[in-house]
Amino acid sequence: MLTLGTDRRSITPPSTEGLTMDGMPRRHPTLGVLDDLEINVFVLQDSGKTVVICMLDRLFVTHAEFAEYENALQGVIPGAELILCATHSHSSTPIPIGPPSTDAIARCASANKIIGEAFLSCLEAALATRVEVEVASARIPLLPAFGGNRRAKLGNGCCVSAFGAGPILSPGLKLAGFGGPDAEAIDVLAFRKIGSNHPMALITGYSSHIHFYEIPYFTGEAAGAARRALRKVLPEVHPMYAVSFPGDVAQQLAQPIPHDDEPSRIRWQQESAEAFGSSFAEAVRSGLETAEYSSTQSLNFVRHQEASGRNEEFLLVETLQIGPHAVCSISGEMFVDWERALREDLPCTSLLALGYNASWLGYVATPLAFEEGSYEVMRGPSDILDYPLPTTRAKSSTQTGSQIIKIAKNQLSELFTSSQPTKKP
Amino acid sequence: MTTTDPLILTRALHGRDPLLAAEASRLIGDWNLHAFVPDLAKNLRTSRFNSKVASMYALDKLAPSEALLLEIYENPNVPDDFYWMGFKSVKTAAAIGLMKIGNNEGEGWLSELAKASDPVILRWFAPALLRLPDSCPASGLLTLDDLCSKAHRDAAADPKYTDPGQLCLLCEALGIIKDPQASEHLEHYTKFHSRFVRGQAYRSLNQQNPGTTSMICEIANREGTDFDLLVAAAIAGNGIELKRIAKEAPLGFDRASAIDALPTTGDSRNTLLEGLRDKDPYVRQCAVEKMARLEEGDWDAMKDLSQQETQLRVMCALTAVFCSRKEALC
Repeated sequence: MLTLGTDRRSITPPSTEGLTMDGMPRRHPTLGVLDDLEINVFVLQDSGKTVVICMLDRLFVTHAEFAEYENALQGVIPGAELILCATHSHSSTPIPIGPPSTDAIARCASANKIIGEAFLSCLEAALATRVEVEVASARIPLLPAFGGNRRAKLGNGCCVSAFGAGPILSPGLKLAGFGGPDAEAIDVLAFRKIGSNHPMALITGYSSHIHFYEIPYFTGEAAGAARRALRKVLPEVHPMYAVSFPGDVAQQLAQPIPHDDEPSRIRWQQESAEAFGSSFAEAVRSGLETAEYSSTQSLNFVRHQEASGRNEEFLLVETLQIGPHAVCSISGEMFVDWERALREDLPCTSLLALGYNASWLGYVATPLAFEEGSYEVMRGPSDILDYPLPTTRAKSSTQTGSQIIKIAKNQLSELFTSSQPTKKP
Repeated sequence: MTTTDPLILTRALHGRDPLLAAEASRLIGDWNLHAFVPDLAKNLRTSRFNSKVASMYALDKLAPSEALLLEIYENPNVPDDFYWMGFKSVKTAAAIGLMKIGNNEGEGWLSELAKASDPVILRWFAPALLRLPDSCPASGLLTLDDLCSKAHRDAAADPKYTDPGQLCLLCEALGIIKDPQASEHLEHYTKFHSRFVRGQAYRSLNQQNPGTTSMICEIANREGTDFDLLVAAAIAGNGIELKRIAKEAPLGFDRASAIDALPTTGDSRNTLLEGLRDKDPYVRQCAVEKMARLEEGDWDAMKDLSQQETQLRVMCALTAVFCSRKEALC
């Protein structure tokens, strides 16, 4: 029988002095903490197999961190499999501001150490609190979509970034529309203790970046707000928030910054996060009302890792089978069109994608998007050799997206071709 | 509210979708709808989106206001998200708008951007700057060296300079410069990996030298994408090829671009009628605007479309063209 134990800890850096945050240029040093950053750990076990899903409020997970956490996991649960992902918070990963002082470097190291310790504590607590569970899935529309496509297509065929204050528009150009689809739905995998009427834990996946603006405070951004709101509307639930295919989707477009002064910007970011969080939580609560739970005895896992492309970047794709449901861990920054490609002819009942695993491929665009341009693809694909300008190229190539989708589809096929029938409770 | 009620344009202008607002502004300008001038001015003052400059461009056609341009130049009223160049772009658009009507208030600002090789002036607004009359003090701010050699050096340090969106505007700017060296650069960009940069390079090369048409068609055939082919067909005046692409291209954007490039003659009518029924709203929008330009446009077909259309951008286009005819529907 499938068992699940969960735990979470704060991983907020204890001191913010002399630090800024990785991922977006800040105009000020960090001033403090708006809300706590979290590590969330789910431990799934069945028939002697263990899979640990760990979600960090960090910008990303490096290959080295993945190896370090996997090593730590083997020390606690030998043979366990690890899915380690980040929420891609742009207000989470401390780096020294300006020329790094010894103190600032020590504070960054201390912040990283806290996360490693929290991981081990979470593992122990989750293992100790495991209970037998049933599983349900849902794909829930979030309308209007908070995650809007953040590329605008111009009449000349190119795309331009439409973040924050929207697209730059040169005289004489038409705006043909957005460069791709919005984030349409929330995927949910819910776990319920046998005999209970309410879920005890859930993992959500939504295909949108979670940040709004480069405020000088540590915060879990939209992911933190969604988790807080979920705990409010479903008080017995432990929520884990994942980002799925956010490459060209963001929430900045949903609510433009209304004022120019810093306190207003901070208030705006908090209000935007809370507005997203409450809509998100309400959609999940309502979508789960009709969810059908079933018990399962199949927990299987496959992993593919390789050095990919011209620069031999780390590529990792993992697929977990939980009965008729699939969880895929994929690279971060995949364009939302790839989600549609992956969902075609699924061999499973549901699919939840967890982006920002330890792959290090940058934005994974479609071949056409590389030709259209915009911030995400401004470097050009790594496989174009006749590039006429002397510049660095993107980590990913025009083939990277289809390569990842092909690997994930093969894994799904491998796991679900011989899947066992599920039992209704 | 009917599907061609003028309120549709007003609401689009002041609504939350920045793309729709910009398109409504463009339509108002392109179809000379003077009644909307106060709405354009309001949008330009109050919107926090960069794309509100579309209202500035529309006002430039309908009722240029020095006072309003000065106001926006002093206070663009968009977030200063410096990395995304939004604040700078609105201020630059206002500075250029002022110069067009003889006010040189923004000269210092434009010179500052040019000295800093800022992409806002080196790319996004380069064509607009180069189109200023020679009498404007800023008309000589950009040289071929600024646009190409210096930018190529900068590209090694800043990948923004190699973005196809920016290179497309560079190619447009190079087409304005009558210089053999500019042509050499453009020929280089006909081999670029992006079909959209190649397309603009074709147009600009042809603008410089109409004798390059056969060479452009040859390159376009070799590249073989519908977009390459439709730009070459437009340059060569090949209506048959444009109609084929307008009907058969799998990408809606290609069908729409082919419709945009069709001649405004009766020969295009049947293709446009099909365009009005296309599943892609941008194709329908382009078909509406092109049909309204035909001498024998099928207004009954457009009235039929207006009865069933649900996409706001198409409704805006229908509203604009009907308002321009002062039709009863409006």
